[in-house]
Amino acid sequence: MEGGFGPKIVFTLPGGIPVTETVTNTWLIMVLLIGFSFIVTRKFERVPKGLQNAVELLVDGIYNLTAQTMGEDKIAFAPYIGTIIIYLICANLSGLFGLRPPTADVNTTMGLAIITFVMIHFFGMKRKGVGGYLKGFLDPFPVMLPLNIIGELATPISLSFRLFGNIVGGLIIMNLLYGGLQSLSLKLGIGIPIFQAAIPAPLHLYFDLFAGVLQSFIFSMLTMVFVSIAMD
Amino acid sequence: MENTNFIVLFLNWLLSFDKKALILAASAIGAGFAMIAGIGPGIGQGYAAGKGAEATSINPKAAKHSTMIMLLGAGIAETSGILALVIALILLFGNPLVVQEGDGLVIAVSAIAAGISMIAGIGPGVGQGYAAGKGAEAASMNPDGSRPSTLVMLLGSAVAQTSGIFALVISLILMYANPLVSGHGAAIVLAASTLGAGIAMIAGIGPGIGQGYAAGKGTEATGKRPKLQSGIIKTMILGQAVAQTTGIYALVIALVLMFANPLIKLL
Repeated sequence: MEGGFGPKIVFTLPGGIPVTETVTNTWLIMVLLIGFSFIVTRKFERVPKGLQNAVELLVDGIYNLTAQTMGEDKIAFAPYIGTIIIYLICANLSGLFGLRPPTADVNTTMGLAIITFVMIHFFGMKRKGVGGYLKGFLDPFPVMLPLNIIGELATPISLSFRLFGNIVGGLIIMNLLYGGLQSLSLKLGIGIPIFQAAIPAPLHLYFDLFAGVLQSFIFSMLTMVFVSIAMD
Repeated sequence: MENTNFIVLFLNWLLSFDKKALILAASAIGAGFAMIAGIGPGIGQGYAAGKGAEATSINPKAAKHSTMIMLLGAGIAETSGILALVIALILLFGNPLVVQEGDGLVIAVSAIAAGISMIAGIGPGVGQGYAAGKGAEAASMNPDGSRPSTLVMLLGSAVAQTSGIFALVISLILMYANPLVSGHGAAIVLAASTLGAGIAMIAGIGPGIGQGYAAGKGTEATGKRPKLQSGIIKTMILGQAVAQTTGIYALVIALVLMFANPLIKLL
């Protein structure tokens, strides 16, 4: 099983650029989310009903969460936070539909963590001025400078691998379970892998639903907390 | 001349086996080592369960709620056990080391070190379990403030996971991209450096427990005074960042041993 758990290459673009499952599944989620936002933002009415109610609840919730966590003055971050939380939930739950979650690829999670990393330092400098911001690295003692720098670099690593480790861990365990159940039913002489029907359901509940939603939430929360700490 | 040095005898005995057999045997040991991490979630979840029982007796009306929070926290405390299980399963079912080119001894030691590194998971398991217990307690003491205190518990536990994640990163590097496998130098030094990188990560136990304690206290404080949530979060995260220091030292040493080892050139 060489590289058995990595994303498969779906096709290769001219010029030898491989396009993996991660990329195609991300495209699929993008299309779905763009379609969703296009449909729900037609025909807004003053008194909301039906679908508009649900969407307003969602947007309201995200704004409240941002205001509560980052403070009222940083409410402008809400659209970005909303975007990553919705994208991550869709990405992490795509395992339930038999797709490989894009977040089970360290490239996706590292990309998102680098955005957070840039945000932390860009908004820190913007709020405190470049000099005042860089002086923060000398706290509490100037000797701590190298350690402070390594600590800052460790943030995106832990942020990305927290998400990646949880999702890919679930993926590997579920893959092995399905394989094991299949060989079990084949050994018993049943052509149809009946054991795969109900047994994996509780594990899907834990690994996909619980870990998936929780890790999306934690990633967004940590992004908010780190950015707001850098700004205060 | 008859060599009577135990280590030399042992190494000669090891090298008398087929390279693949040596790697497979080491993978089995590594998978076993990885699972030692289970100590952490075991202790932590036990503490959470105890606090959950206590919470039920303090405030039976909020029992359902505090049980939910206890289960949520215990679910998070399971993470390091699951990460260790994943490393063990990769070593057993999808071992990338078996087909790697390079010195058999170094590859075999990589498997053991990848397992040893995961022992760090004890820390996050204990710490997050403590936070989960405090979450259940806070929910029973002040049911109105349980939403913000649960949020602090989640955040604090996520940070307490950091050293477990560092261990996972080192473990994955050891299995998929260990630079020492194709390194030049005495095989014994390369193998020992690999093992050292894995052992260094055990330090992660400390930050895991400490940050979990901070998370638990933060949860407790938020439960008492929900309005001060954002201030409590900031103090908690800053303290946890300092508590991470020794874990970062361990990560740096592990990376130095693998990517910029000064010892190899000395020989």
